[in-house]
Amino acid sequence: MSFGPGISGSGREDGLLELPGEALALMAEAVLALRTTGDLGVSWGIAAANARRALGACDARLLRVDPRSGALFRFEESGVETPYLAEHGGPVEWVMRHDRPLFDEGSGGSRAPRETLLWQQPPAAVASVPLVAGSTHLGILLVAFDRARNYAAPERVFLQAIADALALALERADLRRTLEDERLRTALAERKLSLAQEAASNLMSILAHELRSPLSSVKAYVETLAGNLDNKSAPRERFLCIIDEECDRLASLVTDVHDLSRIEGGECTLRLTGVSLAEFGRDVCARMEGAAARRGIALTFTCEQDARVDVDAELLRRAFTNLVQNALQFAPDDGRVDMRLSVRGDEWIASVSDDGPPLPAEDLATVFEGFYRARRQLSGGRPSHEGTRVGLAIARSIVQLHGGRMWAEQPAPGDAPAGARFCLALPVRQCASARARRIARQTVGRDDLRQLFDAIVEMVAASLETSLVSLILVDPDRGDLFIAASMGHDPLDVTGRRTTLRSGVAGAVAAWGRPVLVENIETDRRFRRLNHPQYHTKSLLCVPLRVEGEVVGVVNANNKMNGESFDEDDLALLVMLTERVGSAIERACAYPDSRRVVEDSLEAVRCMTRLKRDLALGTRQLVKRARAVARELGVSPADVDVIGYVASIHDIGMVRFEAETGHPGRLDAAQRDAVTAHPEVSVEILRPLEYLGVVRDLILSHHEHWDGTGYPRGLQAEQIPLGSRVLAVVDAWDSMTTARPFRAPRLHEDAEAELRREAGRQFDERVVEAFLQVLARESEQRAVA
Amino acid sequence: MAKGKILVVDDEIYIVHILDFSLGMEGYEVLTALDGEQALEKARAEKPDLIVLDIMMPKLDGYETCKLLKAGDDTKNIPVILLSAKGRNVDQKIGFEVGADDYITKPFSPRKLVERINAILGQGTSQQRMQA
Repeated sequence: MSFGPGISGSGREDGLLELPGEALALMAEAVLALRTTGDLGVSWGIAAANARRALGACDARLLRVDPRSGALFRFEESGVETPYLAEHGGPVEWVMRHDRPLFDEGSGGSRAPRETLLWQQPPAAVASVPLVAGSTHLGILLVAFDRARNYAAPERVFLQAIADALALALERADLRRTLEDERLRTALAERKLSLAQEAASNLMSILAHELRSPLSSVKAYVETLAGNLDNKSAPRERFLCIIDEECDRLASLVTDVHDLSRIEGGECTLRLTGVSLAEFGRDVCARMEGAAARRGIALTFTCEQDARVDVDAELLRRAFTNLVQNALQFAPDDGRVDMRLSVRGDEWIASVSDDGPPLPAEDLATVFEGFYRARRQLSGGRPSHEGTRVGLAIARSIVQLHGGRMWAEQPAPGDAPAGARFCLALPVRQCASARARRIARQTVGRDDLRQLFDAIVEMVAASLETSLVSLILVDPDRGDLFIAASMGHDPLDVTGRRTTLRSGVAGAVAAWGRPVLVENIETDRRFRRLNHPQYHTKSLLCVPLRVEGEVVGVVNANNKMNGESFDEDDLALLVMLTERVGSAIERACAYPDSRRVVEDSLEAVRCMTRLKRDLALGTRQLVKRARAVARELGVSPADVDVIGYVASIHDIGMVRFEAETGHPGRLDAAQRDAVTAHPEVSVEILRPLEYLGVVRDLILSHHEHWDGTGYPRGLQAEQIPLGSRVLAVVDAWDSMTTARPFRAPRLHEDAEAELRREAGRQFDERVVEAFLQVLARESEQRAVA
Repeated sequence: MAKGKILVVDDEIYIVHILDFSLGMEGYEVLTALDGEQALEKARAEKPDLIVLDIMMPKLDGYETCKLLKAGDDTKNIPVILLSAKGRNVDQKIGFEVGADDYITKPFSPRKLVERINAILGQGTSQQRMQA
């Protein structure tokens, strides 16, 4: 329907009155839906349909402005939002700038840009109305028509009314989103708090109980002393000694509990220093010798094999002291306690055994729980409090903090001493730095990041054309490395597989902080001994992953699909990609509450994968040629890396375009316009990952022509960055010689002739020359092979 | 001549020592045990007049020991005072359910414990007797 001719009026009230009945009903329905429906997808669906019917429009679109970033998102009825880049010189840009509606009548057949990426069919006329609530710009309503038309006043009023209701609905949706975020955050905080409270209250009730024993003694002795002040037969001195001893016990209990809560609460960071195992063990025993000698216990120390280890000596000494104290407590007078240190594989093992009564089998597992009440009988009714019962729990916490484990066992029959044996195993290799672990702690357990990690390994696999990729991260609790995401591995094979720092290729790369290219693992002298049998490929890449400059993991690539070895080009590309991964994680840690930050990175990473998987753009071949040409032109190695990286992702905007049109190749004029926007869309997609301005520049300018006839800015000659000029040539060659669904590949001779013809027009002559050199060298090499 | 035989059971050796001293000063003969099993043995062998029994002990805890004592024909008539660091009502209830005659929580006053023992055994304190 239409509003018919002859209707006029300028004021809003007048216009409203002049709306025909049906239009008024449609408007009322839309406004009501927008005002009352909680689901913006549903109410927008009604509003769009009614606007189309009332105005005879062919399409209606809603663009939302993200209040935090100011970025535009296309809002679909399904509730899905996709980033949208306003077309240069288009109505959206105009409305955003002028903050007023734009009623484009489309007359005169002008081919003004009209947000071609938005529509199924390019429209003839578009009405664009800003959605404003208060002074906040919330979005834009666009209504498209397939015929040129003008807009009568009542129609403008109609659109404004819908826009006002939409603005309110958007504002409400934003508020709800903020509220929801807030609620989630609160719920999370509450859960953490209640866990902490539970742990604290457990600790408190145990502590209350433990404190009561020495307190009972003190009270009983003090009262008895007081009642026997004149009693010469009372052993007053002995009573005072016991009171003193029990006070010490109270004090050390308080210290222990404090330490335990500090260590288990994660407040404790390790100060690692290199120590010799033998010296360390001797030192601990020397300190305990006095206590042992008082009861005639023989404390012996054996070090089967010395090693240098990185530990927090003070903390670990505490753990060992507690173990020895525990053994002394259970050993009989004139008994024996043995401490033994040895190295087994990449772990060092310590054991402390005594010849006291055996530890009941059912207690082997629970003996480390704080305040384990010893069921082992003390010999001779000695006081059971040399060292508090928290000692073993503290020792275990300290060992775990070092990435080790601790257990209790019964000595085999015939072993001496035959009492109980407490053992611990610690990695010989050092743990990750406290800072790396702190950063890693911010990433583990976040579902959104797990998704991002999965997308990252897929993207790396697609970029390097390999079948085996893993993302390995520092474990915040243990300081060793674990596989956070992997592709091509048997999940059962990798779950829970860990490696310590310095061991294996991944551990070594994490410790060195330098990327590594291994051509043949069997002959590579650095790693020959370290190779894991699971990796059957001989060539691999391993690159440290840095966040805030700290190595928090590595990215590993094995099994190149064509069976060749990796080369320096592959390594450089993986380094560049891993840097972006690091910056995405850094952003995610910096804005832990913003879903948008991770979602944007995820979208960018997924686009990178699609670009290579589905469109076969930015393939290894292209990257290698771009790097070769850049080297040929004498560009610095760092710039070669940037150009190679950009070659692998510069067409990423096409991913979105292909998704919109569905059939690459047959383009009408409007779609061609959209294609010309793809460099800008590329930059937009990559924004969450990209921190180098030069990368953005190269991408933006790779469709500029040497003679100034290119897009989007019409730069010419040396104004165009060299990298972009390289990309233009390599890209053109790639698209000319690769088969596409709608076009057979050109012969190499034809393509070469085309390049020469366009040299000085579309392309930089120097770059074309360099490229032809590279091609010539390639065919020479093929001939040799 | 001793007023009676008291068996003191606790795994905290210092508590055993101080009760030994206090009850000894009061004129009782004191037997000691460091866990439930020892306590049962001594109770059966020595037939004490009263048992002071700690609850939290290794091997056999105070509740179990008390139950076994009250189930044995030769020990069921011996009064039992439970002694424990636990002070909540539920513990007292369990204490009486297993047949204990009285209940004292730690930290406790040895003087009051002696008073309770005297009361149960129908004896005055040493001072009361001297006055008598």
